Amino acid sequence: MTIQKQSKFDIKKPRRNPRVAVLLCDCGQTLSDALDFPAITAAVRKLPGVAQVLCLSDLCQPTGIAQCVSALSDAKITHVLVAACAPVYYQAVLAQALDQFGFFISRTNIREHCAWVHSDPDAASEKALRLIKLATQRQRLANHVVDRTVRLNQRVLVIGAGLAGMQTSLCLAHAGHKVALITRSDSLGGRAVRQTILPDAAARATDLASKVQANRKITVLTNTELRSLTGQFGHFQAHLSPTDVALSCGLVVVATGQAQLSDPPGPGLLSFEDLSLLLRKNRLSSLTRIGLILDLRDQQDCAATRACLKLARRARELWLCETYVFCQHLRVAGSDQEQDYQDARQAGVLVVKTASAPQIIEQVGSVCVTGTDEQTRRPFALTLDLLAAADIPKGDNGQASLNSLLRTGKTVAGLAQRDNVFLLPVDSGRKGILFAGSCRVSMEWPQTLADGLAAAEQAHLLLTPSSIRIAAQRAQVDPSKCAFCLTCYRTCPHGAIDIDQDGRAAVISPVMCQACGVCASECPAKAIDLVDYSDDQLCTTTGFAGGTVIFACENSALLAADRAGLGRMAYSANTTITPVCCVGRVDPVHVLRALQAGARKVLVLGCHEQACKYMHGINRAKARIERLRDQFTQLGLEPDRVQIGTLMAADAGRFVEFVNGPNAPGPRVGGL
Amino acid sequence: MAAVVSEKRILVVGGGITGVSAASQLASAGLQVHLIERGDHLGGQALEFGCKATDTCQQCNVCLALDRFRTISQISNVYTHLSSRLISVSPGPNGSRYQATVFTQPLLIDPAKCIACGLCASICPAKCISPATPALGSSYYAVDRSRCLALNGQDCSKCSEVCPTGAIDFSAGPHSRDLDVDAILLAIGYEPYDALGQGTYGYGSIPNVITGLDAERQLQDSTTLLRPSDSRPPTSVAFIQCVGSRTQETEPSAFSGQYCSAVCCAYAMRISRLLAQKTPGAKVTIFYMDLQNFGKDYQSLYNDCHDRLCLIRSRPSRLSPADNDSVLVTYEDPQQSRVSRRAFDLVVLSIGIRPPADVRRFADMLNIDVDEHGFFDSSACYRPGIFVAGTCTGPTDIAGSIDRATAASARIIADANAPGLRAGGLICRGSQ
Repeated sequence: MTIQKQSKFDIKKPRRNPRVAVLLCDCGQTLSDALDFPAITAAVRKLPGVAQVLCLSDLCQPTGIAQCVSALSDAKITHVLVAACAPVYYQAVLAQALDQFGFFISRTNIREHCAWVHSDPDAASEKALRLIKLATQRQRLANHVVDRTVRLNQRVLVIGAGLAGMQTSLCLAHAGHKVALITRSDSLGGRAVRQTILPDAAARATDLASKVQANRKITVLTNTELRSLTGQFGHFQAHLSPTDVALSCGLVVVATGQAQLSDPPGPGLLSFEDLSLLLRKNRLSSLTRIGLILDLRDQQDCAATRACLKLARRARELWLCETYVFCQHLRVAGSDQEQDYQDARQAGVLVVKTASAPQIIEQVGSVCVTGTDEQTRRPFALTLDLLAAADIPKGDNGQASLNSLLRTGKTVAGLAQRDNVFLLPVDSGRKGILFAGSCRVSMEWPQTLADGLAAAEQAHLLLTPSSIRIAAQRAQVDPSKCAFCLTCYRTCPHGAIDIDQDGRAAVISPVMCQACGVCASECPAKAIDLVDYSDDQLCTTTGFAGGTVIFACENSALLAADRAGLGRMAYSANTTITPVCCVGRVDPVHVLRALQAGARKVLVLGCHEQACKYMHGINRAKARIERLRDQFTQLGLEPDRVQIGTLMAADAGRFVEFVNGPNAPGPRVGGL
Repeated sequence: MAAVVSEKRILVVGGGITGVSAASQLASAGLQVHLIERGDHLGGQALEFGCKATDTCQQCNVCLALDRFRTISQISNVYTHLSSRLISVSPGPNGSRYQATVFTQPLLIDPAKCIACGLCASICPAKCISPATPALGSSYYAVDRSRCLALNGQDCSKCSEVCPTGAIDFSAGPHSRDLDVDAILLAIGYEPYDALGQGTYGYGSIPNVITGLDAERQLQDSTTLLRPSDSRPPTSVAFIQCVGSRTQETEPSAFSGQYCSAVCCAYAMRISRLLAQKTPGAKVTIFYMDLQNFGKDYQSLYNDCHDRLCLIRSRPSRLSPADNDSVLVTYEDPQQSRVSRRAFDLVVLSIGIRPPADVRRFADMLNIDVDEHGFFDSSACYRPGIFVAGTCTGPTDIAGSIDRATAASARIIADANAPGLRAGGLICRGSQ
């Protein structure tokens, strides 16, 4: 498949003479004391491109909407700027009412960001005017983008045939999708069928395996690995080895399971699985004293604790030997685990808790465990006939190489899913690739099944529309400027950029692109621009007169500013909020232009790392701003004239702290 | 997202993170969703929590929950009924499976009309009007019915007179309506443990003893914890784990408290790290039984807490007030095998998760088994089209709730597409 090339026709050039209508709303006249509306209206009228100014009291109500519609219908308006409250109050009704006209609508917030947070009406009005000016400047440079429809291949590739992979495949097959299920092992079932500790899990895996094999919609390929994956969501092209099969699919579900376990866990130790097999064969009935140990090198999870307690109880009941469990923490947060513990204790299992991992001394035919019991404070030295330890994950399980092949980011501790809250539950950050089961986080087997179900649902929902319209706002490459340096390819958080070897230029897949703008800011040749957040739009020349310019991430800082307004938390009025889709879009050039236009300070406020909707947009911005600060220092400028901070959407306090400086909680405005 | 809108209707009971996540999933699959919430806003318990980021994110997932609450209003096919309760469920008359009777006590301030101007709140003599969901950045206002003068027999209509959009209406009475639905998802959440019941820990009487929930609420408005008595940052803080969890005491409802709440270690360790970072020199101590595992970064978090905090395996016997409003903790010191006393500026009780108050009522109404601890048994929903998810099936955190919501909605979608082949337990429906 060839990569879809961007055509010149995707963008309509901005209209030569935009005619902007500005809709001002004084919120049922509640803002008329805080803002000087007649003065603002008069000033806005003089702004270039503004054809009409409408001052309303009830923009969010049916009467106000009707007034807008009648005023705008015959004025040859092309753009509409709403200067009112937070968009959530009016957006839905207004967009519906104005849909027929095809206006280009943008918004600025003069209530939460001006009237409610500044007690001086003159300063607040001045700020409101500044925000409106900025918004009209930005809006006049806006491009209309034509939506495009892309059909989606309905076949799904599932990698890994453990519980999660089989569950996902079956559900998808039932929902009508063709499924290719590949596994590098020679049979279905994964770890669940190979273990004997949890017979229920093994039975369920066997059952699922037979259903998968009987299902005609599922093609099972054993001893097969993914060699490469190209293309985009809806049109992936997978190459499999060793058969060298090329497979086209619309979506990929990764269910490769937990890290492979090392075997044996230490010298002279059995693994839990070994112990389970011994118990099955019921040999060694002459044992008098055995032990099971948790938290030996790493802290173990609930699954290991469950296995340990079940095995200890089984051994105690079968062999009637003294059975010890050594641990640092007894993890009973799983469902009904407290019951497992009670049962084990009732069967006569002795649990010894230690503050740190006990010493294990190997002896001939036995093993000695020494440590200090934390509850009795007594040292102990127990000679055991047999000691079993929880499995320890091996370092490399192939997940890292699979992840780099799928371009889904670096793994942490051998887990597939990146550490980002917005990926929960099963997303990868790369559109069309999902994770299911314990490859994304360690989980117990019933949860693995539920996760397989969840991934199947997500996959089904993504593929259901059979064709999708691509969002209108996205990054564009100018091939004539592209130096083919691969910076964008490496920095795109969503694996949306490919390289056109013939044209020697980067190509952005409109399907995969999430419009964060990281590539546009990283590109050294300035060959990439982002529609709606273009360099021209963000390099504003409004006089900032010694104030602070805040580049505010629309996912966090802008909402925090809304909340500051709701709480009437005062901050300096000589501030200008410039919304950006992600601070990853903020380029040093934008900062320098703001300073050039008279700003005293530039604040770049975005989401916390690992809570950035665009994966590492904030990390990139931090690196860039830190570099800029270093350059400021070298040039003898104050580095603090540009600062970067992180906060979450509800963190109004932190927002005000950033703007006012620390330890200066502002007074509240008005009677609230 | 889906092109075809199904005729199938789903009732989701509970507007917390589980209910909201499930509702949005179901709606994007083309189903019509009625989401009912007993309170005056969506968000449930998660809306009470604050961000625990130090310089870096600690992945408490609160921002994810808030993001879902913010976006639910933009999803079509979700009909939200606030201040509503499910009264009864009977077989559906019009071809649908069930008829659900929902009782609604209309909100005094109509959220659709409220423009959050705040005039009513500034004029209210009883100060009983406030934003319903301030954590979401934008919000309508809501009235605290218990403190409203007009609702308590006095003559006051100041708020409705001043409202510029006429959003305040005292005349609307309660009403009930019947909804024809094909499936019901119960996501009624949990009750935080009532620490007032833990007499020996003096919550409510000793000024600087707060609960984990109080701490979370504080973190919503400020970036660190302050002592309630003098609003100063504490220099020594103690967390007491397992308050209301893993305990022999039984609730009045006779459910056993012998289970781990699964979330308290996580939030205590995260808030501890936040305090240790925000207040240099602050000493944080955690009194614990066993530190429970959570999340994928557990090992590094545990190591960090092990190095920087004082972890003591002990269950304090009592707390008592001491000089300078500090709190004296009496506990058995495991290192020295004797009873010790230590004073702390602030003590946080890590309260656990208790089953929802009306779990029995729902269980009887919909024929679901309840386990000995008072949570729904998700594998024992006997009637077709009845599902349970979230913390009402057992304690879990935000990520766990979202997992459960996603899995439950997957089962509902499968069930709605082919009701005959019902998803049994966790496995997907049907067999070949």
